[in-house]
Amino acid sequence: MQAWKTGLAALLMLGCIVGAAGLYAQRLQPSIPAYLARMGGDFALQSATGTVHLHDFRGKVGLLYFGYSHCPDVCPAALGVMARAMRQMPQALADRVYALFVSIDPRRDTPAHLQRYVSFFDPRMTGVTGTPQQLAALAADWRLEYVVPKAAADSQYTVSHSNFIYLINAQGQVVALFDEKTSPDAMASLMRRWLGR
Amino acid sequence: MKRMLWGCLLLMPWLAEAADLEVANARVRMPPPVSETAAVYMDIRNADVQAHRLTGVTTDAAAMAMFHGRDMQALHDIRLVPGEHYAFAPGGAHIMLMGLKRVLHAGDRIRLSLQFDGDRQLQVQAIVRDMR
Ligand SMILES: [Cu+2]
Repeated sequence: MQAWKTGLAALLMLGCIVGAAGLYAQRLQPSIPAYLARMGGDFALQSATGTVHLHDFRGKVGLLYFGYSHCPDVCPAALGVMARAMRQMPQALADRVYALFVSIDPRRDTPAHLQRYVSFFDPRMTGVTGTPQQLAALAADWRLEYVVPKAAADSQYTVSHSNFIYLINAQGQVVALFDEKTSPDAMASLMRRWLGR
Repeated sequence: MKRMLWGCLLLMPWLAEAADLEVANARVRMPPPVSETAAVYMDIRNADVQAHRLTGVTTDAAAMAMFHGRDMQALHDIRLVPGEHYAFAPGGAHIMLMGLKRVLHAGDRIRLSLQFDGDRQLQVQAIVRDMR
């Protein structure tokens, strides 16, 4: 009987601590704008070293961008800003951040090619892609608009796509949208806030 | 001596078409070494009293060169009214190079030839810049 009571008390205390810690964490973290609440979601895409899920990065804060490697202007600008934001993170948080470049042009962008492409901007970036069907489903979840023309891989076609850079919190939720004109400072400071620093 | 020669080369665009059509600040966004495409930016000024049309571009650095809007759609016949400053600039219109023939390194220069109405041409050198 006595042991049962002690156990219950301990359990209640533990509950209180977890609850308080949760409230404290919520206060530290910025809130998610309502219009982003249903944007995003987990996925399984192919990188040069195997399957990558969004949930693989749980506990880290990330930047995600959809584009294609034959894009000469907006995509390199976006990846450049993302790389600078990552480099601006304090050393202590360097391994709590990640960046993903999702190619919507798998006909030309193989995972191996993508990895070489993104490494130019930052070696910590990961290039991923999937089948056209996977990418279409992903685009619906992430509110991405894009058009890949039905053309041969060697025909120099161009792809149009929206230019959001998504900020993803440690729980895998989209919490802010940037683009290639956002300053790396602004990105890095919001990333720090979502890491509770 | 070598430096003077380079200086002459760089001035050539202005000498070629002295007063009425001027190009400045021509640069290439250095692409990742594995990339086959690159964007060229420059400022074009029509200092003439009449309008001109920019009708085409060629380069020996790539298989194909064309004018693109921000949305990557081809632009044809860019009209330059008298006094106009037209900018090919990051996040806007650019000169699109497709099928690069070599890896571009920061500091390299590539040659482009701009075609205007009335069979006029302007030779331009663009410097490769690391814009990461
Ligand atoms: Cu283009």
